[in-house]
Amino acid sequence: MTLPTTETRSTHLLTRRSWLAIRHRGNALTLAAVIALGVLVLVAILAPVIAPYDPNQVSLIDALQPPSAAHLLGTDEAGRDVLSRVIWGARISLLGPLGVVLGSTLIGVTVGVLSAWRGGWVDATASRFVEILFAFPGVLLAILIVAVFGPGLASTVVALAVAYIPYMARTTRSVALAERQTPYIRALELQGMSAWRITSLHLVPNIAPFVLAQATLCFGYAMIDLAGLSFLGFGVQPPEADWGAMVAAGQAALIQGSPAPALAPGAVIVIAVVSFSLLGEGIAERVRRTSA
Amino acid sequence: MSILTVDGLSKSYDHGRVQAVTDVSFELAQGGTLGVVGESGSGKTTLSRLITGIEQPDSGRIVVAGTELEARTSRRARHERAGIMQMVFQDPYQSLDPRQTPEEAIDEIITLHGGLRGAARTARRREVLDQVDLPERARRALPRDLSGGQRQRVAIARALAASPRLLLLDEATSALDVSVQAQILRLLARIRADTGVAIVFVSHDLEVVRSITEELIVMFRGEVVESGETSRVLRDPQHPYTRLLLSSVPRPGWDPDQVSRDRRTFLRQLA
Repeated sequence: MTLPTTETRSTHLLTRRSWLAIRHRGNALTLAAVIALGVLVLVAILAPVIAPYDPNQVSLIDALQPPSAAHLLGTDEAGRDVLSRVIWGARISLLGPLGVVLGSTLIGVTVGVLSAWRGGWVDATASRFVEILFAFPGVLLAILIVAVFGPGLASTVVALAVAYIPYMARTTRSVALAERQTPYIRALELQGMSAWRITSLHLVPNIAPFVLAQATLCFGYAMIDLAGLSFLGFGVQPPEADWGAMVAAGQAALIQGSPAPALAPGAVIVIAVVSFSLLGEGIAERVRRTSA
Repeated sequence: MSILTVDGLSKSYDHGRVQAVTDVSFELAQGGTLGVVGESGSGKTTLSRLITGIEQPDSGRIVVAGTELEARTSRRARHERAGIMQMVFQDPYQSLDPRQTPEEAIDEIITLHGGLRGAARTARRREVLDQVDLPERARRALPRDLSGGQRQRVAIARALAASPRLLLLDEATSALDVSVQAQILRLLARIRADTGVAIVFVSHDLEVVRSITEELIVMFRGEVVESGETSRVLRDPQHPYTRLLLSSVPRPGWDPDQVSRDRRTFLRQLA
């Protein structure tokens, strides 16, 4: 009788330990992502203090210098300090996606909640609108908008915000739909509370963690898309420091044997995007675990 | 005057293919208690959803405190009705906002219905939470830190905060374990004695209904098969379905196989 008990116990311990290990690793990755993003935000805020040079200071004599003590990441084709430009670039490169995510979240959550709450023709209309947006490639939409309003950060941010609405709206609708069926929402409805009050004070706060997870994931994607649009020349215009635009400008130097002007901003983009993905997954996982 | 009159109520789903409630009529006096019993699928949940206005009947009337429920209700009508009739749901784990403490939840309802603020609201909140015996510590805790019984007390308090004259409880004790169930039933009996609120208690549990209601209707396949005084119906059931329900209650010397045989016989006779 004792033998099977010890056996089950040991397997139980094993599964418990491996589960802990997985959980621990997930936490460590999320923590690393938070630290990386914290550093990037700090760098963006402190850019004027920590950047060793003026990011737009052109000095053709110093063009394409390899990394040295004076220029830790070397200089670009116009002789500007690459490190200073990466540091200053953090501002636009983080603000751009933030604008995209804020815009798309605001509209997407409104559409999603409205859809889930009202149902019927409101839901049908909103869902078709979301599907049409889905079917339309986001970057193509952005290029169209840029073609109409001209290139620049503002028009690309607006364009991508529109393109990201369906991602936020779809997630919001599905979680709001489930939340709407819960007895506590029903109870508040039976109390005669207004739909506006129930959704804004009860439903939305309760689905906020799901929305946050999705928004964080979108932040990473928006960063790639904005960098891509800058790379193509639609987004941030030279000489403004932006990581995507820097990668584009650094292409020529790359061929000439100076990889730093393109690779440095490229590497930071990768770090930022991966961090946002990990953080988004981390939040989503946490939400799943607490709501399970 | 009766607090609740249900007259010829019918509701079907799936374009008439599923008849959930058929021609149900009953009346509940002010301050009275009515039990609605039946097995799963008997239509008792549909009946409670119709009474609260979550669903609209195909035909029939529901009159609450002299006012007939309209088919398409405005928020104002719902708000007015909420001041008369309140509901407590089965699942105590889902019937509270997970982000609200009991105090916040009660405050919200008091403000919504009474318009009370400040000290008057605090006093009313205390009164309502005292009424359901919620421990002081639990009043500022989030629902996840409350037990099932405590949550159901909060749900009852939330219903009482609107000072209703009719309380509809849909399987309100079914998710609780037996000792907690007894506490909640005692609590309801006391609240009724104190406030004179009328109670409709929907349940599959005959013992629970026996302990709390004076009148009883027995539902089977959407129809009322028997009704009357609870003690009389349970002591001397006239309808074979009521007898079957009673024989299904586990007790010493109880034979589940006999119940299954009785059930088959009953259904065969019906067909």
